[in-house]
Amino acid sequence: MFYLKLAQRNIRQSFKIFAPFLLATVMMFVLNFILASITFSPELDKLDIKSVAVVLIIGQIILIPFSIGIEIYAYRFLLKKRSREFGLYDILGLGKNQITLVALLELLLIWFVTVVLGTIVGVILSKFLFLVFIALIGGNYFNLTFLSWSFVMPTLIALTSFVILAFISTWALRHNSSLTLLRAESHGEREPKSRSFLALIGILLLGVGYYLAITIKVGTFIVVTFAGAVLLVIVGTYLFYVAFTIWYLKQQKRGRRYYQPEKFITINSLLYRMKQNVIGLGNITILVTMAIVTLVTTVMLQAGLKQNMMANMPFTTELIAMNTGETSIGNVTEEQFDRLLSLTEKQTQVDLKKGIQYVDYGTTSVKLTHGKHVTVKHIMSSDSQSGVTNVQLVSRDTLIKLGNKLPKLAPNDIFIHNYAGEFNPKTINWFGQLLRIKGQTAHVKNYATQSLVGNSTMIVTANDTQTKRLYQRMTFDADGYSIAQRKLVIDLSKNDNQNVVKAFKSMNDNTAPVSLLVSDRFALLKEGQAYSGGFLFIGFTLGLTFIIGAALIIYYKQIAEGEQDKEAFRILQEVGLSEKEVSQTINSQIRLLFFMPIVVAVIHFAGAYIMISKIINVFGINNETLMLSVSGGVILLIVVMYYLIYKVTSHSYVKIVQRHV
Amino acid sequence: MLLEVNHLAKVFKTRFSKETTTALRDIDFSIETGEYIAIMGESGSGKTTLLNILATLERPTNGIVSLNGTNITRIKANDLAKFRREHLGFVFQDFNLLDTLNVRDNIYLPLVLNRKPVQIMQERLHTLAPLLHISELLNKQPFELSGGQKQRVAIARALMTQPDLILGDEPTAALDSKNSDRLLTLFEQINDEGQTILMVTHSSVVASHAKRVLFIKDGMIYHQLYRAERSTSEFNKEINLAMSSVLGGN
Ligand SMILES: Nc1ncnc2c1ncn2[C@@H]1O[C@H](COP(=O)(O)OP(=O)(O)O)[C@@H](O)[C@H]1O
Ligand SMILES: [Mg+2]
Repeated sequence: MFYLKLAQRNIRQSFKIFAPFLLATVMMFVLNFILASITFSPELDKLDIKSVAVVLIIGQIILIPFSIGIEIYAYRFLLKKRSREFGLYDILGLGKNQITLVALLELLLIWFVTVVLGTIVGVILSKFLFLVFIALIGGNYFNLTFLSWSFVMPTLIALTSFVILAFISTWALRHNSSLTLLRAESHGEREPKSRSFLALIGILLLGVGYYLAITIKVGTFIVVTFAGAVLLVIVGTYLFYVAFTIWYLKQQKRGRRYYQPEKFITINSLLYRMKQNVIGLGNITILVTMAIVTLVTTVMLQAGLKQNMMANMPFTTELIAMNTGETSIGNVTEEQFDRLLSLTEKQTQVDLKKGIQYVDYGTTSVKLTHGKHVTVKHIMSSDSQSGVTNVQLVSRDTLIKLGNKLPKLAPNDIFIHNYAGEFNPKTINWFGQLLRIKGQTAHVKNYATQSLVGNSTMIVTANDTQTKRLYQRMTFDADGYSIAQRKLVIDLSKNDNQNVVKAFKSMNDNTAPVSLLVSDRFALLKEGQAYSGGFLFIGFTLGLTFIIGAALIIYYKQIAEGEQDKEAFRILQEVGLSEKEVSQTINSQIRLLFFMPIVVAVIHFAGAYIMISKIINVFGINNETLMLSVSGGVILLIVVMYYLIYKVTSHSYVKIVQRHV
Repeated sequence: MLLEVNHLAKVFKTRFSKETTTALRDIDFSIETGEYIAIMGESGSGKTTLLNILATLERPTNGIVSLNGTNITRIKANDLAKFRREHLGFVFQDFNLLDTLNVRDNIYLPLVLNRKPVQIMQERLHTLAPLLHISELLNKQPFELSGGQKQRVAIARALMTQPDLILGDEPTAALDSKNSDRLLTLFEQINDEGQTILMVTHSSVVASHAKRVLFIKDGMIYHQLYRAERSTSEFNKEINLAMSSVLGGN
């Protein structure tokens, strides 16, 4: 077929012009492919974590229109460069219908190439990323498997955008005479007007978005609120850019330093391209923000899970005995526990005398009222969500054995230690027993924190007997309590740990029904890492996706503007702008466009900060310093990457623009 | 002597083939201050190349161009831009206005590049604008102007720096005959005020407005005519005669 041949020949001959467009379509296909493979991976359920799904869904919501948008942008760029060629065809007597047909066939061919190339690159890239991950992490809970959806989804997205492109190209070819096609240069834009109304709406949307993000509550609506806040901030960002940049540039134009060569040229060319800049800057900002949010969340989850595990397991090894008799109050006797331990010692030849023994009464979920005098009468159900405080009953004796220093207490006096929250009344009526609070303890070390979800508080009693009494006073009317356990905690080498754990678990003692448990930090860490490895993979892939997206936009912005500015810089050089001044001008333009998205992205991230910390708090991660330093590190990393991207792409801009005499 | 051109030659080598094109073979001429000169020749005769060399936009393969005694072919690359914006003014066929600037700023551009104070720009524009009939256009964007208007703006820009020499490459080529006439009359007026002008053109009508016409062919100047007291139409006839006699003589 003649036209197909023509289309094919066009692509091959002007491959240089087609290449950036193909790059954009393939890249977007690959990103959509990777995201779809993760989203539709059947293994995802294993991770059983809501926020991953949230991030993925938001990722999709953003990526789909974004990829369609960038393809339209890239295509219009291509059309503009080819309009001369089309105009020539027209003048040479190829009818409009035939030209349109050729253009559509070209699109069809490119779509086909995109799907084939994109699938290959997508499979290879995601497998590669995944393998890197396995190598880094070791074992893994999460496994990347491709379902047919991972292929269908990106193909459909590509199809949608290509159909749109087909309409665009048909429309453009119909509505331009051959002469305008031949010229098809800049149609000229009037200088944009100030937009105080848009500025107001933009700031309002940003404000509401931030407010939602900052006041977000953990609960059923967290996903909706999260998505709503994100949407508001996105729209607000574009409006803000429109209004702010126009305002800023106009301000500059009025300023006294306006008539300085670099400023003069920069301000005017930025004003001239306002629309384009706003969309570009907005897109870059959103993507960079998404990348920061994703990476911080991921790293926090990873680092936090490990930290949590360390806090939950201050010693490498815990040997636990628990009464499995009828009563939940009963406790393994000290004699029985000692017997079990010495048997273990004998069998493994590992000295357990250094270990510390205590009774762990676990965590009790109760509702603590506000005010100076608090009464506790009921245990709450362990899955009740709001307003529950998890209380640990611990004796001063135990804490001292574990190496803490605490003043003496009278029998019915207690100290309070808050993990989270600010519980500080004068008295507590604990199931009928009045307790006086003697103060707060700032630090407690070596005691396993049970749970950090929601508010957590430790009640430190005068001595072991008192703790036991308070435990026994409780009315066990709901399941929010733990069975008391006798525990030995000890730091062991990896090898000893393994032997002891194995031996202890297989002990047999017939004096009373008892169940023997162990907690082994080495094993837990390994397991936790495999688990959070899945997260890390998803998080980093997503982060990478967003960064690649931003890089693509930046690249396109540079080459598109390079094409547009080429003529302007030629004129400028003819009028007498030296090469050095050209570089200075270019740099000052690039600097402005470089810093704005990064600065705004960091501000957005600051707005999302509280929301993020609340979400990861759901996983029991609650470490302000860690969060701050992780955020700082991630932002630094992204700034560096962003800078490199800009360096490389601005080079392609300068190459287009610079003319040497 | 304002401008002296001696034994100027330019050979183009294309990057990928071994072929060379000799655009200028051996050009000699000189210009006094206050002259209005047209260089005439057919398409491909090397006019643009010559003008680009005079404009320091291109380096010659051989020969000397001196402006006010300075050999401009020897100016260091870094200083070229400065030299251009201080000594030369340009009027191009396709106007070369910046789309991003409004008319006023387009005209200010060379002085901005020279870091001149705003008052000077305003003063000069104040005297130039009525002369060029562009006072009404100053706040418009270039895309709102007609070709003739654009070219007048370009001339204003060229005159702003009070250059030693104005160079024009087919300045009327993109204009209709009415606008073209208007522009050439304008050139004559400017020249009457003392501005030296050199333009290249393939059209005898255009050339007939100049005081002196040089003929270029095959990269050489082979003839020249002075207008003296003749009208443009008489001069035009004579130019055509000279052209055909040369073509016929070959
Ligand atoms: N950059 C260049 N590279 C190679 N050849 C060139 C270049 N510029 C001009 N030429 C050649 O030099 C000759 C003169 O061109 P030009 O000066 O543009 O002529 P005119 O302006 O009189 O039409 C032509 O043969 C042209 O093809
Ligand atoms: Mg020419």
